[in-house]
Amino acid sequence: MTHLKPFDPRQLQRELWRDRILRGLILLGVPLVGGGISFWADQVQEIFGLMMMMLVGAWLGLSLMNARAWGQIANLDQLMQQPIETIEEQLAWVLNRKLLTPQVRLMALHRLAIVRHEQQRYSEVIAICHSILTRRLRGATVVKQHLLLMLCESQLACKDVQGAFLTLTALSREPLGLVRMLQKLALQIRYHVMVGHYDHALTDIHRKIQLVELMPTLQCGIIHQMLATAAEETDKPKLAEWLTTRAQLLLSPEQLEDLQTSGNFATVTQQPS
Amino acid sequence: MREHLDLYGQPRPRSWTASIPLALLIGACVMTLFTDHILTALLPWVIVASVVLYMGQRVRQLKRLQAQVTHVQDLTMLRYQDSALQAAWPLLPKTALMPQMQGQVIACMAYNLDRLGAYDAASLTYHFLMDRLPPEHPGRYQLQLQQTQAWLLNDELASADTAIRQLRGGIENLADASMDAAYCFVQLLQQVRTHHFAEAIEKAPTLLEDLRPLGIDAGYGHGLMALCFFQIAQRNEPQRMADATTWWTRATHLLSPQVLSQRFTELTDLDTQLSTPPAPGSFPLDHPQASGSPAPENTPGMILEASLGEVSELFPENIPPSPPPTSNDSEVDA
Repeated sequence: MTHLKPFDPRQLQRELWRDRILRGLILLGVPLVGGGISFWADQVQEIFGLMMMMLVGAWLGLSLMNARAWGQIANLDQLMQQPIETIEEQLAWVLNRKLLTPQVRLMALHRLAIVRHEQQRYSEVIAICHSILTRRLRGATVVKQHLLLMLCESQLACKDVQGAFLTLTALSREPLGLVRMLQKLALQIRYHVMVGHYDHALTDIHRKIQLVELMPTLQCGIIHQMLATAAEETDKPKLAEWLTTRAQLLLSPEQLEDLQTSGNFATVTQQPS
Repeated sequence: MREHLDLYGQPRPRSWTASIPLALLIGACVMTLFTDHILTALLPWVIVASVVLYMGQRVRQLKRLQAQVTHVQDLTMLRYQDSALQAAWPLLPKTALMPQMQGQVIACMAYNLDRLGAYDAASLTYHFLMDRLPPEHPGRYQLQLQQTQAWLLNDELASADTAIRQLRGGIENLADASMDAAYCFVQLLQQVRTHHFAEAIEKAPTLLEDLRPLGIDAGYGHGLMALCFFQIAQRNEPQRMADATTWWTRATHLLSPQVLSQRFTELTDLDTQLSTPPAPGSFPLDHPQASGSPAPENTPGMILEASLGEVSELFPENIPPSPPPTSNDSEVDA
């Protein structure tokens, strides 16, 4: 049974370099060895073709290996339906493999960030997200947006408001779809309420309420309660009362109590497909 | 609708032409072994380059299609039913080779038809989707619940009654709170449609909790419960009027009276009959979208873009962050 080691950014850097060197050695070495054998056997005429065949063969072999590793964790919905131990085992199996392409390794780490986010291990989520986001995610815009959202939520949970501000600024530059935009809106409101920018939280409240209504019930209720707090703080009792009543209809008394006591709640729930 | 679904709604099997690029690549690899002329040496590379270009083009085409499907889903979510249907209709033949994407398009079509009051077409589309799912798939139950709701709204009470009885066991086994809530709502709707108001109000003590997972849409259930109490009060128990008012206030806190009556015509007169004090913050519900129809001067696309743009603007980048709270007290204050 394989276990997941705690995430270490320096270890990731080492693994990426190791994979790169090994892959390069294989892709260069296999055709060269083939060419050498052909030269030794006096088959100089076919040497180029043979080297090409061996290069393509080596590349296909590496691709198949990566595809097999990726296949274990590619379907996120299916993956997240399993118990956490099984997911961790699968991720450990993938991450302990050598010769992975940077893309597959980073995507596996994205899955790990989701698992840690579910487990509310926010400091590890922040480390993983930072490590992935500082590298190039080719064509994975959706994953980048999801990482930014998870990072922001983790930073807010760890009371790192400066970090959350920077992440929200980065998110503002992303072309977000409707679902992602709703998640960003939830994080913005949470940030504004957390730092005491109540007026900003209530800016354009009509439009915000319309969008908040599109969120899942739990998030919708939580945001209503946060907006109610902002309305109370800015001395808008009627609005505060209306928002509180709505929050009470959307959240159970236990959920409301949890919200008031712990202050930790999920605002980013939907994962990219 | 049936014709369109029959023509384009079935996923087409992948044709043999899809494997041509792979065959060409293998052919090119083999050709490199027989390079005795400049042309035979170049030809494999030309083939490889052509295949790569073709695949790139295909990927871009798929991304465009995915973006169109996402646009339909966004319009559906934003309740622009007409526009969503118009955008979904031509997408059906285009997604024939991608069953999952096609399923998403058909699901959006069904939902929008339902919301537009085209219950026959919606019911047909739900049925079409259910046929594509395995028997025990959780999505089947959800579709069946939506179809039952469409039947009830279309006064097909016998079909709805059979479906509700068939669904009971399956829903209980699923142990899914939102599915339980949807089932509870369908039962309530059935009782309202069959005028079993006394039976419906027996559920009142737990209804608030039962419907909570529906979120804002729980307001419809609260509205129907208000109607049940109102009917009972009208008949023989005038003291039930207070309950009716309470439930109606709850309903109108979540949804505007216009939205409620648009979906359930029996709720049309309830707002005038139950003299509730105006909800203190009812202003957000005066907005055109909450009342079910977009402002006439804006096209849905414009509204969508505007809302996306404005929400991006809601977080001005030049606001400096406040210093991090230093103690728990300051967090509470914040």
